[in-house]
Amino acid sequence: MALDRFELEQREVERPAVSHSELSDHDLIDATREGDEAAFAEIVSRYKGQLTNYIFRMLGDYEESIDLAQESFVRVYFAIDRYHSGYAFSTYIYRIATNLAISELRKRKRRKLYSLTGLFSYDDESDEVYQPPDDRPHPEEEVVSREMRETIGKAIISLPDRYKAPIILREIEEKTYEEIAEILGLGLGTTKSRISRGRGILRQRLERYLESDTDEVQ
Amino acid sequence: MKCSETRRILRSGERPDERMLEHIRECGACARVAEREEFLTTLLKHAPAIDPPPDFDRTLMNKIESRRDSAASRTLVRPGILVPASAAVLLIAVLAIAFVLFRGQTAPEVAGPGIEEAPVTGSSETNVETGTNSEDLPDRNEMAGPVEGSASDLPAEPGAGSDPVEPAQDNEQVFEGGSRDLAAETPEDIVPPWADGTPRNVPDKVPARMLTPRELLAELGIEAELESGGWKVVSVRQGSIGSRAGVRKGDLIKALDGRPLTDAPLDAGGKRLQIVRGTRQMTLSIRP
Repeated sequence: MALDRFELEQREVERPAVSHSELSDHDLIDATREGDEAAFAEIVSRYKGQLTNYIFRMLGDYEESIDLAQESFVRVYFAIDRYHSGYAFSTYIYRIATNLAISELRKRKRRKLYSLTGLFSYDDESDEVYQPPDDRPHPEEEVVSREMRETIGKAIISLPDRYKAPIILREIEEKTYEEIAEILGLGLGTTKSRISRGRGILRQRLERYLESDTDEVQ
Repeated sequence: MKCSETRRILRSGERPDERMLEHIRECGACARVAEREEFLTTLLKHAPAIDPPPDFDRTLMNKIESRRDSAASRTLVRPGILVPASAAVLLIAVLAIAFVLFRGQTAPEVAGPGIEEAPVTGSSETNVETGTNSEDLPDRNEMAGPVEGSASDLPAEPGAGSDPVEPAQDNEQVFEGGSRDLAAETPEDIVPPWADGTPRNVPDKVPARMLTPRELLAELGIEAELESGGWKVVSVRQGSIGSRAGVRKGDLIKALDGRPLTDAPLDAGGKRLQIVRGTRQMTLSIRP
């Protein structure tokens, strides 16, 4: 009997090592719960890029985006025992990031409201200084110029908050309507409606690019 | 499928299904709308992107470590515990101070009963409460041990030779034949210990009632005749209170606790007899 247990333990120990990169999000979460720091590092590795960019497109602030992305992971780490696999981990962490970003946007609005400078110099276009620090040449630089990219970024950031996250999640992060509804805690109809309205605003702001493209098409 | 419905769906960002695609292939206007919406989608995908800094992971782990440390310290000293703990410490301190002050004020009162119950030499009174002989009472005095220091300041206890509350030193000297200048002592200097409300230690054998000096001395076992300045002792009964106090034949009893003995009635309560023996003035302690 004791020998059987020993052999069982041996088999468990000698279980073929699976690379963390091959594990699903839920498996990594389970491993993290058991104290596997490398599993958590793999989760961070998988999501830090998209999460940081998601927040960056919401705020337009590089430092703040890094900080809030890290804060999202910190919250995941300390609430990992409460996480249940009822829905996708990506939905879970995007929801945390969204809440942090929306909270930051509200703080900024309050600061702007109470700031005399903000009251007298508020300019919808110039308010958000959009300076992406990524200087690497983009593979599609020829198709979409840097100036165009910046304009796109400004157009997204200047969206009303209620349209911003749905648009980013749908058009950039390529989430399904269902995922977006779950992340934002909205109904499916409301989610679709907000995306549609957000696209309408962006269509107007990016009109000149669309017209030229249409001309080219025609 | 109608053009309006097709364009509405295209502009909402929804991807066209097969039925819509079929309509778009047939309708040039809807095809241009579809192309335009597709280009908008492509543009949005080219919104500026950033790369997380190289130290992203390290900074993140530092934050986690820092948060873990602060969480651990919060576990050790929770604000919810800190406040009641401080309140408890404060309460204990206040109670301790109150106890010390209360004890200081009540120490003589606490000691009083212990002294009253102290054994009286030669007495065989039975303690009603315990059913024991009064000679066992030193144990009761031990119960008053913590206030012994205060009790030592109390008036002398006649006959309580081994009692922790010893009689005043001057009384000892008087009993052993010492003398004091009666003229120098005013009645106010020789106040009976119970006169100011302190526990009365005089046995019941000395009546606290108005007696003539003759009657009073007779109760003490002393037969005396009034002379000028006092009562001249004619005889002292053997074993009487007067005999135990050391009164002898020929003594001139001048006063009781400073109150001159004339022919007038006086309160029988008293502890000290001021006498003149020969040329010496003496004070004798009455020990029932």
